[in-house]
Amino acid sequence: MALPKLPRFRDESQKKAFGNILKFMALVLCFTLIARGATGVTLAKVDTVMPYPAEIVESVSAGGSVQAASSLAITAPAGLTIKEVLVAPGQTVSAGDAIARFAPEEIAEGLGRAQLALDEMNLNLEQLERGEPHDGSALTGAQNALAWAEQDYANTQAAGNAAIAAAQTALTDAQNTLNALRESASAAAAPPPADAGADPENPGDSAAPPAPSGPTAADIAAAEAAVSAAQTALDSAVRDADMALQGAARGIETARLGLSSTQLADSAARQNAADTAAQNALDAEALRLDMEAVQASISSAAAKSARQIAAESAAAGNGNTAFWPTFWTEQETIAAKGLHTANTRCLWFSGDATLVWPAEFVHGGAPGMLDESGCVISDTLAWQLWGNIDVLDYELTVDGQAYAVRGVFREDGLLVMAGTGEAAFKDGWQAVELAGMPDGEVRAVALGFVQASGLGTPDTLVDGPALSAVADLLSLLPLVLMSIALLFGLLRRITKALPGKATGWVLAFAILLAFAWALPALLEMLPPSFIPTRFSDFAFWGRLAASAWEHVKEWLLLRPSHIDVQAKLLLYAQVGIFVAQSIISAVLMCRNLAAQRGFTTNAQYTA
Amino acid sequence: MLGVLVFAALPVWWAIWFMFTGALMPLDELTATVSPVLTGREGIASWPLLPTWPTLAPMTELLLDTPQFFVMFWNSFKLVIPSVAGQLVIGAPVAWALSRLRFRGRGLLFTLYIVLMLMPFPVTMVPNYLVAQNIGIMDTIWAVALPFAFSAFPVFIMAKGFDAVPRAMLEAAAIDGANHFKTFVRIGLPLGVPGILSALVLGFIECWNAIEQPMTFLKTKSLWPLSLYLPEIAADKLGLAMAASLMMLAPAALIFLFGQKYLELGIQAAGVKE
Repeated sequence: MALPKLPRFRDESQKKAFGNILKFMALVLCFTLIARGATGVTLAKVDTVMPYPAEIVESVSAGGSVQAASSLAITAPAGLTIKEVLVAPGQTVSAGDAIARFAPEEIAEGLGRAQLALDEMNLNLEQLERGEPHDGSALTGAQNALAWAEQDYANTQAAGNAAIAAAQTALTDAQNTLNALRESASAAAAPPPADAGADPENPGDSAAPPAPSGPTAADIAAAEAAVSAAQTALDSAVRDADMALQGAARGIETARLGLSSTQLADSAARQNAADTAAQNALDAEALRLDMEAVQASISSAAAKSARQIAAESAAAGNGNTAFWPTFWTEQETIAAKGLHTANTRCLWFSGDATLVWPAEFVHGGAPGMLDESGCVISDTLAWQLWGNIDVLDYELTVDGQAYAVRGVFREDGLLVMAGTGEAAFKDGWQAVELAGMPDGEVRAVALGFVQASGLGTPDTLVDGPALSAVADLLSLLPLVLMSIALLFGLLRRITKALPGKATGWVLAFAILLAFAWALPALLEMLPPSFIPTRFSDFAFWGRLAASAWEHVKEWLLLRPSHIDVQAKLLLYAQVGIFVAQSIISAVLMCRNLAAQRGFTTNAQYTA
Repeated sequence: MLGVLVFAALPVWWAIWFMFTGALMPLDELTATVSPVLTGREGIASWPLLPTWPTLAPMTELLLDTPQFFVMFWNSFKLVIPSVAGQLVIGAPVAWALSRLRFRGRGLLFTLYIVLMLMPFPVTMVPNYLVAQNIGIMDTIWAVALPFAFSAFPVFIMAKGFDAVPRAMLEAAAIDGANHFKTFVRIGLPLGVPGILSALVLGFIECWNAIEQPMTFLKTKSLWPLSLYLPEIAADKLGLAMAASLMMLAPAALIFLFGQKYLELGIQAAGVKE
């Protein structure tokens, strides 16, 4: 049997050209389907229906009553750990009911910090209200300087006047002395009177009595010099007094200027101090209000229950899917049945127990989401406490709280899972499991969710479905390898049975067409984050690998917990199985290819 | 002589090499080499003989991320197939009649065909538009395909091909009782294959590369052929444009290679006088 032959052509080159046209068209057809399938995965799917005219005959009647809001969003302060949820999911609460409790240590710590800040502010406020003593020393100094300058002026003026007066006195004395000397000299130079025995006819007669002696010219000259010196001293004293007074006046002017500038600076300082005081008062008031708000929020803060968070999430339209957060934590505790006790690992939870531990139950089942008085235990623990594993509804005391056993699951270690109770829970939640996440950027959605819910930023965030998808893909890889090997074997047999050049091309086209047809379904199997927005963005694969490696590292570095250890062990087991399957597949492929080559050789030899 | 031919062929091969290497170049390199041309900045545009950092990103983007390219690719075929089929169904009998039949006004009619053939598209655009508008085929592929199907140029080429059919053979067929239709089908078509195929190859290439006609008669973008896709690509998608050019070139080149021998025979026959 042979495939239909191509139309006859004049020569081989034309036949080849025609074949090339067909191949090109087939290739384009396949790529058309591939492009549609590849881009279709990243596009939003919208179903539309053709509108048609019709008469609306439906009517709706409803009755109801108006009541207060049945749900209320409560935002817890960031950074606090919910210690305990005090209400059951679905329970109706009224104003004033406590619905959750934070970890007291963190509340106390937060309150302590707030109280310290408030005390500090109070001190500042008191200081501001008391009024800080104004530093007026500069002004006083300037005033003193002015007074000193004025005093100095007065002193200088007095000293100058005194000097001038002394000089004036000296001058007067000198003038008097000079006048006296001159009068004496004049008197001495006048002719003696007649009755004084002198012979006017014989003036040369030496027998006349001698005339009285007067001041000499030297004396008069000395007196004149003394007057002149006194006058000089007076002038000097006047000049010195003027200069001293001018200096003192300049000192006064300088002091007055200094006082003026000091007064201006003092006014500005007083204004600044007043402004600062007003601003501090405002700050203090604002801080006081903040503190009141913090204290009020802390005192009235209530954690959200899992159901409340789910309801809020649904109301916010997060993918139209309600998140059901399940809080859990792992502790070593004591489980007791009567006098029998066992140190066991306990998983406290609030929410869906199946998310906390993938238990394989041999009796009973997981407690319901509202069941906080039930617990499930491992068969090992049941055997140790009761000597039996069918212990449903028996009472078990865990950490002092009585629980009824709802189920027994297979587990080699001692393990109990119990709903939270007031006495049983002390240290806050370690982890939150979010189920029902919408497809897409799970990490970003989860992070936004926990932050918006007041749970704070988690230390680590693990995308379980993505890790599971990677593990699933790895587990499928051997199957894919085996399928490829089988397909190649089948194709070789077909090409042997149907000789002709076109057969290979037709088969290749058929495979490519099948791949193009199945591509959307294959891409749907991948997590959305594994599909690039554009396939031509080659850097996406590098980013994806780096991101995946970071997430795997984050998961491997998680705080060790029982469930985590079990998951890691399962992953290691799966990787081992994958490696073994891959090796087996590769060996089988090689054997298959070797067998086919041998068949070909034999056939050629026979021919 | 060979050197001269190679030198003359260089511009043709360089254009193809230009497209091929451009389809393997990253956008950064493309921008660096031809940005003086595209952006008008100062500098000299250059083109490396080989890409510095070859990448398949443009081709991948075209084949995997651009489904609209394939829509337009198949739109081109939706235009070309009816056009070429129409040229065969309508043009071949007309060419046979004008070539081999004797009737009054034959020369005038053939001259009219030649005149119509010489008319450029802008001249016939308005009449074609009015006809398409009146018969209600505007904004459909038929507004483009029908004018191509009734094109005068294939008739001219086919008529020249039919001219090579010996009249003695037609007379012998008539003596044997063959009517005109049977003579056309049994003798004319087989012997006129070179002319017919060369006309069809030329018609395919003309229709495949047509820009003005689809732009005039097709308003709906989803009906546009591939020839209108390249002008839509912006300068920041130069690699994509190069890859799309290669893909657009491929069908025309393959058809040409397929019909090359017939094309040569047809042209040869058109130049031979009986």
